[in-house]
Amino acid sequence: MSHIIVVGAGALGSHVVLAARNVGPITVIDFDRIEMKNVQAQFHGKMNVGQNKAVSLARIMQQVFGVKVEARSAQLREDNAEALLTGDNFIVDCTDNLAARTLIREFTLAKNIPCIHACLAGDTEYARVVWSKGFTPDREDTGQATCEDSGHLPFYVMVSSVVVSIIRAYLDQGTVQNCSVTPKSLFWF
Amino acid sequence: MEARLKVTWNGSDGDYKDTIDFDLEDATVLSIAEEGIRSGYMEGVPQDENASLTDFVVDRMRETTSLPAIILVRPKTPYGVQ
Repeated sequence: MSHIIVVGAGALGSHVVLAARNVGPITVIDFDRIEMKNVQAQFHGKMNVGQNKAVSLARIMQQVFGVKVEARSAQLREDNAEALLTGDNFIVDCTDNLAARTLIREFTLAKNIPCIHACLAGDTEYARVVWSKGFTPDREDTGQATCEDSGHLPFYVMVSSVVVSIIRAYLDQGTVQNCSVTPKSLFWF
Repeated sequence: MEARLKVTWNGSDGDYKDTIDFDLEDATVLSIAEEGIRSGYMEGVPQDENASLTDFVVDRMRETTSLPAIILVRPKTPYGVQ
């Protein structure tokens, strides 16, 4: 495998990068900038407010852990998916919208690139981490999940750990696992 | 084919005490699950007389070598939290 590519460096994606730092080379993709409200529950610091999330996260990983992370300051679209995702990679979808999730799913299935989707419910008391083959994106009509509230941080970290477990199971044993996650339980299938 | 019915509600995850038909319509599955939570018939999920599964999603997983057929009732998950 060439790289673990994490698409989206928000509350979930930023913690996936943190947790996966010893699993393999990482590339993180995000076009968004860090806002003050993000630092409560995302792995971004106050000193980096205003900076691109991917670039800032790569810098922190280098400074704090000595881990090189490739950063792509870009919004994933049909016309750049080939350049950003193609290769001997493992894709982790941590985006927040139906269009991006659909694009990642269809692209990775068409190219036979291993890919998992990490998705949270609006109330952030449920998440699922699902391989592309069995994944159907849900519509965005249940209320925006908040990333300002630090109270959800333990759950984001928990889901990030599940993501890394699934990556490891695939890389180490070739096992394909999916997981349904609540703050109190994990259901593997 | 019979299936295990799993439901996630208010951060808890539980199983309906009986198996149900794998091919039931989504609306029927949601109705069974909702009534299961309201009546306390869902092991692992605290009884909630006001439970409402409007907008919940029904996922179906066929039997595998390691798991029986499962119907999973869960909240929608549109977000990765940007």
